[in-house]
Amino acid sequence: MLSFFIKKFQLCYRNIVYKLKQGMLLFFKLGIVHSVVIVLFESRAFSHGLPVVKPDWIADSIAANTLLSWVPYQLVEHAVTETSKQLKLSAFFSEKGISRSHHQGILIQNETSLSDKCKGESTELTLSGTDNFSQENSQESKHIDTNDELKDVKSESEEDCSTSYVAGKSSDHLNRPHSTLTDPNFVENYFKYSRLHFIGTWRNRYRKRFFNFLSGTGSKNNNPNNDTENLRRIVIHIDMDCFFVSVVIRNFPDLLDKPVAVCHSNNPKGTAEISSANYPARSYGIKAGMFVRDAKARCPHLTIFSYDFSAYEEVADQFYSILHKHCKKVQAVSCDEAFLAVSLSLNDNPENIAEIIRKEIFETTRCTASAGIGENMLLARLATKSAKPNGQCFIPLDKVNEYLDKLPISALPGVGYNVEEKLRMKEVETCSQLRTISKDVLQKDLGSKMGDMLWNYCRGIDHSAVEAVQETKSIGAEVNWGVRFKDSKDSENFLMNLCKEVSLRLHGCGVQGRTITLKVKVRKKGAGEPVKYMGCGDCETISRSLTVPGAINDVGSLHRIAKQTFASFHLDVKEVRGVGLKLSRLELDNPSRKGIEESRLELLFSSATRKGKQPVEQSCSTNHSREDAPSGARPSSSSAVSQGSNISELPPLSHIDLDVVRNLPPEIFLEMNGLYKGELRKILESQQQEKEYNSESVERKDCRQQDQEISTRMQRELEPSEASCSKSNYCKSDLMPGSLSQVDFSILENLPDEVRTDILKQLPPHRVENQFPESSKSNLSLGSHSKWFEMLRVQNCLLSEFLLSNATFLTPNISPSSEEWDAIVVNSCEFMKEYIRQKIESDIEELYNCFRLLKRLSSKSSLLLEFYDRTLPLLQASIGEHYGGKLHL
Amino acid sequence: MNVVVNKARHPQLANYIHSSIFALLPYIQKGLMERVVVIFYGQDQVPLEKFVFKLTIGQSYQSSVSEAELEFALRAFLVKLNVSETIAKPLPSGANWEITANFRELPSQENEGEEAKLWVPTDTKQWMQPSEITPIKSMDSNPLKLQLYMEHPSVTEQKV
Repeated sequence: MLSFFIKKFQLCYRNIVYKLKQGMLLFFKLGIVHSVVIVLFESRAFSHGLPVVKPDWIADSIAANTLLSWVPYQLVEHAVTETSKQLKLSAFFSEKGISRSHHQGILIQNETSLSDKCKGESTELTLSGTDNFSQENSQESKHIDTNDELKDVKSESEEDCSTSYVAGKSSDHLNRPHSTLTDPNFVENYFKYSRLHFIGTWRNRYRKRFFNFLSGTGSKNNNPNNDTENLRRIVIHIDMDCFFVSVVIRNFPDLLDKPVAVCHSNNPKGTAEISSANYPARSYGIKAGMFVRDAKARCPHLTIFSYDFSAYEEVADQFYSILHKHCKKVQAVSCDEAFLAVSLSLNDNPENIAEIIRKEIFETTRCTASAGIGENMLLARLATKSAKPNGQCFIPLDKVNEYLDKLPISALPGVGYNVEEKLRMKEVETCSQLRTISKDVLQKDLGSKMGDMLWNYCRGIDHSAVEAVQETKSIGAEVNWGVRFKDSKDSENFLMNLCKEVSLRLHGCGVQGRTITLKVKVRKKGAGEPVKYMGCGDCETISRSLTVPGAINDVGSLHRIAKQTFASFHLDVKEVRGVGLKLSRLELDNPSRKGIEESRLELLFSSATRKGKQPVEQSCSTNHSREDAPSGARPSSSSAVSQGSNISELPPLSHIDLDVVRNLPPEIFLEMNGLYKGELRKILESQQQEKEYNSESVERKDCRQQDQEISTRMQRELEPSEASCSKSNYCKSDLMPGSLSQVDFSILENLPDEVRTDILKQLPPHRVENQFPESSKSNLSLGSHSKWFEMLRVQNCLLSEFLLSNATFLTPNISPSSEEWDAIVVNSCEFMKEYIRQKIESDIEELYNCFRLLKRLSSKSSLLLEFYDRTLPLLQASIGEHYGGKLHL
Repeated sequence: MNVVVNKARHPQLANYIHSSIFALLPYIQKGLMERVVVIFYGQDQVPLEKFVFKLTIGQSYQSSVSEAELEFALRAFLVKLNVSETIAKPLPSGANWEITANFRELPSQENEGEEAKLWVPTDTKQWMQPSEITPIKSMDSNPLKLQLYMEHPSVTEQKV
């Protein structure tokens, strides 16, 4: 068992963690020179799939001078299943705290001894090792006393590394949890510390800040277009030199000529990627994207800083202020890189203006920038490469060919690894060689677009123009680092947070989107644990998009759709390594419309109060007085609201009269619900269900008597134990039809709505339909959708049945496009929207019938046709969302 | 209660259907099952027609519905299936069928043991376009919500 265990892990190059009693942890790391380290660990969250052994195991092993089987020492039985492919986060976590102690607590010296171990031979448990072990043990236990949580012990001094970590916020930075497993705010933190995120969202900030410039007003180079004959257009490409480093070290002048890199973590053994390195560091071969441990290997005295996003923002803003001051047309590429389109008279030297700009940038920001000048964007960009660092380069028209001749094709923008490989097969390595290939051949080999582009580029031709504003096509967020889910609950939480993030970004840009794309990275079959700590490794990417009829940007809808799409992938959440959510087909947000929409959707249950002029207020007030009079001790909720914002204490939820609440106007209800943090709505909804449930059980009774009973019941609604109703007949009509009864309708009409509904629910529909007062029908089509609902509720029939029996009435003689006509259409559409929402989960048959009927009826009435045309896309969208298809009508 | 519901008579077929559904029972009880789909597919493994039973079962529900009531409701439900032949399209020769089950989430492998191994991932291909849905019958009686609808490939799908 043991040998199998170790073999398996050796094969997978995985880390094995043994948890010991008192939270002691042995950490085996294979493939690194120092193999075993010890650390103490408070490890509640840490047991899944890993063996937990008693510390005696080590002592006995040392005594026996051989590696004993851990099985008898096992503390808690845990089979290592194949499913636990990923180590727990805590295992990774310990790595950090351990790194400083690895020079002491070595039990097993190197890899070879490990392979010995797996053959069952003696291990090198040296005496000094054990001494250190106990020493370490006591030392570590002190730390644990102070740190209950997973926060790892921060190293006080780095004895064996000559690194200095100078980041201002490094302490909380180091301690933040590192994956979706442990951090409930993972998404939020992820983006807070992400450099790519900074770059990505920087553009919005830029657009807001420089809006005036972008719309093209007030600039001193504002030359009218009509004298273009005397002018030539020049493109200047300005790029800050190793922006992320220079901004940070501008306050440390002594570091200027020392190797410095920027990275989010300073762990010298870590697999954090270096995001930017200055030129002295680059001379050691340190490049962006390199792991810190590799960089440290090349240059041990490398200084590593963490990001300072506020400084980046400040410098980027200064940078762009300068650019906009000198030039009207600025195309922002990134926070540190931009194209300028300058018109110069023929005898002006374009290098002068670049010189001025660069000088000003240096004076303002204390960071250097390089500039490339050329006839077009391509040349300017290429020139910058030769200009760096802190220089400028001008490629005049007559020198273009000379410059390009020697240029390797990989320097051309858009030429990646694949294209380069393909061209290398044809023995093409420089632009001059590329020029010998005809456009047709290029297009055949590389695709028409790429071929065309390359053909142009190697001749120094670039038609793209410098454009000030680029429209945002999509907004989204993607996380593919630190994503590890234990179960579907984790993934759901994560999706929720991601949706929140995306929603925030959408709100930030003031847009809504119609197409929602969910992208998921899944571990490739057979791919091992990624080299990069918590990285995504070798993944397959799947994505699916969905287009909804109305643009959205609220968290709720986003989450609903994202959840569904995610579920439709049918993934094992343990294999998910990254998730991205993106919205495209953006539309400008219209806040006023949305406000209404939201409140409407959320207030479905209190539909009677909306737009209600007629019976609503009345019923509200009657309820109110009736409810309040007998129960004086119970504070009335409406009075609580009227006291407004200065009430210091809210009455406890149980004291609130829900019937009053239900009939409050939506705005007030929303406010109250907010005060109770959404609890109010939950209670109301559950209560609503309970009521339906109870109402069935009321047996035939004298109406007045029943009225009384119900009103008393309403008072007790919050004490369900007292609910005096039998529970025999709760099933819906599908199981058993209700009983027939003789009811005096004149009495019925005078009853309060709720009571009437309760009674009518027990009657078979056909009976009610015939006798129900005509008055409600006549103003039905004019009333709000709430009236429609009431109608259906009271009659206890489905809309399709109603349509069938009332086909004639539904075709009123109202002239098209009149105000009345519009009102009816709008109201009916609102109603249908709600109706679809109600039925979509449980009864598409009914919706199908409705729309079939509507379709048939719409040939007779232009009103119904309009109604049908308006609501059909909604229906199809909802069906698509829930069932992944279209209703076949 | 005298509603006639048709049933397969061939003993092997009946047995197959019965054992398949019976094997689903634990998952249905746990509420893991979202849809049970009977797929008819052609020789190229592309589905021609799907009968989808969409299940929602109230878990918290104490079963006090009498069996007779439920049976009645289910009979009424299935009667509609008999008359839905007009919606169905004629199948080409060589067509085959299978019963697939769509789970809300993957059932945990450890707990299920032998029974879970009886189910294998389906080889049948997916339609590339959203399908066309024709509802047949919906039933909403606590605790069981059951919807039956048919799915056909969309018109654009068939052309491809």
